[in-house]
Amino acid sequence: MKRLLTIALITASMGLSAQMKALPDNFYMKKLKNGLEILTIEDNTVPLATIEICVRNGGYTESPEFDGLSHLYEHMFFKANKDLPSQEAFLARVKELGISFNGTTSGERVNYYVTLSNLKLKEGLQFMNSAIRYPLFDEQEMKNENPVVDGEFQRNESNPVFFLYNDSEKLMWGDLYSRKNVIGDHDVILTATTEKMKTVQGKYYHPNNSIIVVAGDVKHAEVEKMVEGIYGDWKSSDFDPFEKYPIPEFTPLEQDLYYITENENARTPIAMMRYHGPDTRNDIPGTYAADVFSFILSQRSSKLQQRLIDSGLALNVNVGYQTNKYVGPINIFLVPNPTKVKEAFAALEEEMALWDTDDYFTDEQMETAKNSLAVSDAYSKEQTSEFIHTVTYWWASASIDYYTNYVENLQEVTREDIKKYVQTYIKGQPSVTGLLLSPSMKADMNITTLESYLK
Amino acid sequence: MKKTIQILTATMICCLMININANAQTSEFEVNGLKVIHKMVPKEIVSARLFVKGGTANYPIEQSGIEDFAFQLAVTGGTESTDRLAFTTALEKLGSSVNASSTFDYGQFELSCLKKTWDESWALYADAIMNPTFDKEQFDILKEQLIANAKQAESDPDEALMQTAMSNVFAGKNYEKIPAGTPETLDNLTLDQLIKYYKATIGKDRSFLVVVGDITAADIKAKVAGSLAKMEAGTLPIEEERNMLSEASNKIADREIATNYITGFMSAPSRNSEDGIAMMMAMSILSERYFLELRTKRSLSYAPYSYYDNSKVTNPYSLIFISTTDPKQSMEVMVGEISKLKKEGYIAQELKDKKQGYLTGFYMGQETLSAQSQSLGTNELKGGWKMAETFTEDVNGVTLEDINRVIDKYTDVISWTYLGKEDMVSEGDFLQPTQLPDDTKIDKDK
Repeated sequence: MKRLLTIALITASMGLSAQMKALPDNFYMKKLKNGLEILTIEDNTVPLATIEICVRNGGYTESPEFDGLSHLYEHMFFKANKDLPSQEAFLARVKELGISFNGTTSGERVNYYVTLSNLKLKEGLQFMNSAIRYPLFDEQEMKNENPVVDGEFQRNESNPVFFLYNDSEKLMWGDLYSRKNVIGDHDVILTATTEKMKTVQGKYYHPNNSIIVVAGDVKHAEVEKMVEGIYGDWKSSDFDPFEKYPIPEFTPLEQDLYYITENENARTPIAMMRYHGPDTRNDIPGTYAADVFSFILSQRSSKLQQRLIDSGLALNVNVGYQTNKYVGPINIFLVPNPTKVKEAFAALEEEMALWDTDDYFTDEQMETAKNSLAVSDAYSKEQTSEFIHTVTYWWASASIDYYTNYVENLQEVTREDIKKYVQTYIKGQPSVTGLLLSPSMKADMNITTLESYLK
Repeated sequence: MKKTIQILTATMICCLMININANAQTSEFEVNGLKVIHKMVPKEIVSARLFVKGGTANYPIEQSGIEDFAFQLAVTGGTESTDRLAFTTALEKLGSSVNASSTFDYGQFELSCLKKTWDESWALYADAIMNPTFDKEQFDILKEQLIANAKQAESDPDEALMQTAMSNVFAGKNYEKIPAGTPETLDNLTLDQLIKYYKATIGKDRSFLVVVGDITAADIKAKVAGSLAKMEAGTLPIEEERNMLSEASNKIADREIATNYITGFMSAPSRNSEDGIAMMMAMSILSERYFLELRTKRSLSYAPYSYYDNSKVTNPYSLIFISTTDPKQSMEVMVGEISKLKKEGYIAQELKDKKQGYLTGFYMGQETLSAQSQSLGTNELKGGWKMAETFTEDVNGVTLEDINRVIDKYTDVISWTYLGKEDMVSEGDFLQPTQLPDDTKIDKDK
């Protein structure tokens, strides 16, 4: 099961999807009495059906003693349950139905999905029902799976960029680091118990905290009937998980923080500069402005790209915003020219100081950015089995409405909105800045601390 | 009951084929000597790719990366009529993309655009291929970027393992070359070399175009006649004798990392041979066995797998992989499973189930037009684009005898490559299917 490392989003803004004001013609929403939302997306391009169940769970629900257990839970979904009492039986059923399956855990979402022939939709829905409602959390399977999850962790740790990102996370989120740390803590993962899994289940795995999306060559009326027949008796919780177990608010950064990540496997310097950005609970217009501005800055004609890339000061610079319900980070990713690290940082800072000036970008660049976001939507919809994940991302971190109004709201973004976004979240605001170096690079550059090096 | 399932399977496959082909028609034609493969699909997106045969066969090892560099420079450096900034800005305004790359057996230029911007997008795409300026400033910028990418690839253990394995297994052959180049080879390349290389390589005899989208053949013919068909005939790449990997070559690359990365390479048939599809399915079932034996039962790894790498056109091979903190036991189990298959063969139910799963995966891979154009193009290189269209029948035609034959025929020798802590492995751990003790070969409880 792959885990969505948020670092992947540094180079690709999540603002990839969009819709018109009402639900698109091929979208059908329904809510069961137990609170389970059903979304059907009809697309008959290929004769497949993808079923996804998405739960509001993930890193943000984890206190330190549960750090990484949303992810372990996700792995246990694919193991023994009431109807398939061992993982061998589970895998045999997967093969029998010709299923392609996976799941991901991210900061604010856990999703599970299968793709199979549309002729086997009902069997697929039953298969998912057994797994989501009746996991056994078998002690032996837990013991077996802990090192597997830890192995996934170790794979991440074998890439030096992971450490640059992880060091940044600790400084960005302070005492609430576990609430953003999806991959978790080695010791917590290795000592996880059935009881802890049941605690996660009791808090979050309820129909009124979930959505089921069925997409592909299917008919919505049939889908809704089948889902109601199979999931209708899933008992709702008598509480709202986020009222009963509120997510603590992240403390704003108080000052600029700097760090160096030293790793002997690093082969080229890589820098990250990050800010606390807007979120979908408190500043939805800010999230739209962030996406448009990120796409303006990615254009080759932008002042940022011209100053850093075309001048040869940097090999890559990317500004992205990750839409979240609880403080979305603004990520600036910089690969400086190894011989001009200090100059690249200085140029970046000079550019950033101009981001809220009237002529920092042209009207044409803003229109191109809006158009690019709309075109990205057309591309993302092309692959239904992937597009479904985009939809549930918005469901978890914003709402389906946020998503269906996305492109239209982007068109409304003004120069003033972008200026406000820059002034509220970036210019003059505290940041976390890190630089990945190998020990030899560090020695060659004669760096002791990043702060003193850059001043 | 068994009969019912078989009928259902046959019905499903039949429906899949009808559905897929209902709205799509594929044909081929030539425009002044340039071959074009055209698939008509009524969608909003258009995908076009110009394939250029040869890849690593086109340059010496000391120039590794030259094709990738030259092709990327062509599409980012501007054209004779449009400077590089104006060119990229025009594409960005349209929401289109033009990319270029090179891999082991071919290079390619790819266009993705909306149907409504097809005319303007094609004009930019064809202009970049036919009239690149090879801008010196862009050459310098791109060179530094490619060197940085090459360095990052070296630090990524998955990439580093594959690079090390290719140079280990294919030493002295074309596949020893790294298509993206090394920091050193890229640094040594000059603009003059790139220009000469480009002129010598781009030609009709070694190229063909694939277009997938809601575009008519007449439109394509007119556009190609006015642009790409004007390129010189050029030459064909020199064919190299295949390396059948019949002798083991093991390599240990020491690296202090959190886990250890291991791969084993084995011989394999060509995709268009009678063993091709059977090999694909045999290795895929082996991968499922690895998941069960290595991950589920023994918790030895998050990511064990195996596959028949037929993305390599001239010299395909089979590959087994694991990342693990227990290399010795992992390799023992991996080789044990192969030995078991060589002795006992597969189970009929495995093949039956695999066919269903394979077709699900195949159609998932056909959802985008970009994937369809890539599939048509790579199949053309492997022996004919029609293999992409007959895939379902070919999968359905594979028998138990076929997969038992190929797993036995092609897995006698494994060449191992290891990236990780050197002291956790020794030469003796690099087992061969023929070397395992009998009790490891047939461990029916596992």
